[in-house]
Amino acid sequence: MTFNLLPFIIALVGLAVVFYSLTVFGQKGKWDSSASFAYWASAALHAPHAAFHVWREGRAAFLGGGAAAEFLSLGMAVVYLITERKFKNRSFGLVVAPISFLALTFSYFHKSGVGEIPVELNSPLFYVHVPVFILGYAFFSLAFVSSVFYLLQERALKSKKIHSWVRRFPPLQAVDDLCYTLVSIGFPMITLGILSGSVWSWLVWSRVWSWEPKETLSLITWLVFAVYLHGRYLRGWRGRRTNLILIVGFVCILITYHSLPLSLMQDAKHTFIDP
Amino acid sequence: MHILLLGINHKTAPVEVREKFYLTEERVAGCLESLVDGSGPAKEGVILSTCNRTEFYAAADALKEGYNALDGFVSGLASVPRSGYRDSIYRGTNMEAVRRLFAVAAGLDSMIVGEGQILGQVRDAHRIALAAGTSGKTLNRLFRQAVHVGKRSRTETGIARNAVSVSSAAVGLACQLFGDLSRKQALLIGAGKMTNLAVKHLKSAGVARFLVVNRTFERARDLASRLPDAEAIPFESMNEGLERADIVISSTGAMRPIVDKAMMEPIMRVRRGRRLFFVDIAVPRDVDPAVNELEHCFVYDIDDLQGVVEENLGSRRQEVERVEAIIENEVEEFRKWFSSLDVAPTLVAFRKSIEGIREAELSRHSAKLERLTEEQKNLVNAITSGLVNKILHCPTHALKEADLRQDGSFYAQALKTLFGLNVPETAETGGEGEEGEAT
Repeated sequence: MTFNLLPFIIALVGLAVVFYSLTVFGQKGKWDSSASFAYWASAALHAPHAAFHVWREGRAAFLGGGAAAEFLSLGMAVVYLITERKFKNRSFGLVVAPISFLALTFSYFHKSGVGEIPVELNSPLFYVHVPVFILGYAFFSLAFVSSVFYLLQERALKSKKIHSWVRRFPPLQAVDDLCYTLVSIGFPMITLGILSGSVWSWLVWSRVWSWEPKETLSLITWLVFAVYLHGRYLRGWRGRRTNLILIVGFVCILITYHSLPLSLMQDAKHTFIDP
Repeated sequence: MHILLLGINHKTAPVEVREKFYLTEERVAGCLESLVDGSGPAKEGVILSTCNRTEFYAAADALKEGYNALDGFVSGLASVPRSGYRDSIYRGTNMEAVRRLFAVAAGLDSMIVGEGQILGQVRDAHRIALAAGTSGKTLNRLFRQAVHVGKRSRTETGIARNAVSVSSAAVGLACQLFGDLSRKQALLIGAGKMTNLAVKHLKSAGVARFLVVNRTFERARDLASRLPDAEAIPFESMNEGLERADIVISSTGAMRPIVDKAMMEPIMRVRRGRRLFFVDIAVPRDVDPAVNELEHCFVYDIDDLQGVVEENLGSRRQEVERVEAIIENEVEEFRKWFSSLDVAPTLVAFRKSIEGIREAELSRHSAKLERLTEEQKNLVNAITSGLVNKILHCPTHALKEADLRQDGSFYAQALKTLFGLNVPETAETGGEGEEGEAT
């Protein structure tokens, strides 16, 4: 019977939520280190906890909506904390920490690791296909957070109503550039995820693509972000348009994640995963 | 020792009255020398004189005489009868004076809350007094701590944060938009005092490259030559300037806008979405407000900038409470030091005085004492020592108690008077004084 660290991790993230709100709305500078410390502490606890989980249960540790949420939260936390270090600005924590908190709370109430993976799917490719998607989506989720901040700040600067908390955000251009950087890193990961899924499917079922719901939705998500990169890089799109694309992309990610009910309608490859 | 303050400022007196008391640096030195001339009650003096206030700080042993001297001095300065300014003068004694000076140094008493110039002025006032030799232990400590309070307030609270002038607000917005300004170019359309101010702020924020446009090309060239890395552009090529720059400062005398939306649309296409920040400080405006509708254009006119300034002033005012907490904390620090100034040396002098009496009496009778046995001599010594200690015990204890109750100065003064103690000025860092003499 292992000691479940999750409540402690959730408590630390909850603390981080409070502190991050204070860094934006409270006295300037006073809460910065507390916020980062709380969030780092939660990640420091969560990483070995998750690693232990995977070591003990193997692939089953990734099964279930709860597991998905938990790993996404960890991925976001790590990516965010690295950006926070580079940027020296903590305002994003205001959104990232609550997302983490909600994801972890969700995973606490949804048992993960139930269900069996069919024997034919026992392959080392599992450890490529799944984690790379999780990490890629973590980057995209953070890009989504950045785009939210972009739009908020742009609205404030345009309307000339600049509240004191908007001042705490990083500069507008930096936020826009950050979105681009994050998507550029996440996109190859997602591409690798889809490709590894194809390869795997070909190895097991001799089919490269079967148009089942989850596959299709992740392809649509991939396309949305491809459009973003194309527009941003090749066509010089910038500002509201690209950031709205990112929001659409994030919605796609959410749908893709929870597409399982659709999968159950068909004889699909992702059915064994408990929603 | 008491600290006395007499002063007028922009809150108590209109400028016609204040100007009568304004003293230049040279005059301040002369005034200090006549105020603290050794013959009057004032032992130390510092004068702080700015366009918004003139304050006289003095240290004197006798409170009433000290104020009389100050009053007389001030009325001698002013060329108007006392009735003309009597209502504008405020006083502060001891900790009130300390609190006031700390508040002034922190910028709480300034017209623009938290402004930084006053701190330098406080420092300068002290420097002048030091040079004139009129600042001593008390006022040195006071003014040095005041400067410290000024620094603490500005670093630990938001009292001095955020721009409170139109041009620095504009640059603050540019930083909010672009972040690092070192690779951004600024286009200057027209010229004038406000443009120069904005350029100054832009330069200190890191902008290195300037493009200058003016209807008269010579004036553009002239302004460009005064900037390190600048290029003059003919007025007809203004569009090119708009394509290249990131920040535009516009202040021409044109009666109608010189930049409008129709003109900007193709320019924004060429720029491929690179953001452009317009600072339109001209009245009538140079930039058509409709330009702000273009997604990547941000147009701020003088009213918008003034709105930002107002917002900043508001948030500065919210910091006043926190600054006041710092001030109270520092006033308490000063008070502890100040009352120990009187108490500790007084106790030392007291002991020395009574000991002195004992030794004097013993030596007066030394011839007869010689005839006593060792044992008897020791007994005499023991009795006299015991007497001294017991006499000292109660007043010493009472004075220390009074010090804890913040009454130390008064009791120390009483003890000095009652026993005729001569308490010498000790060194700046505190130390043993010379022998106290009993009369």
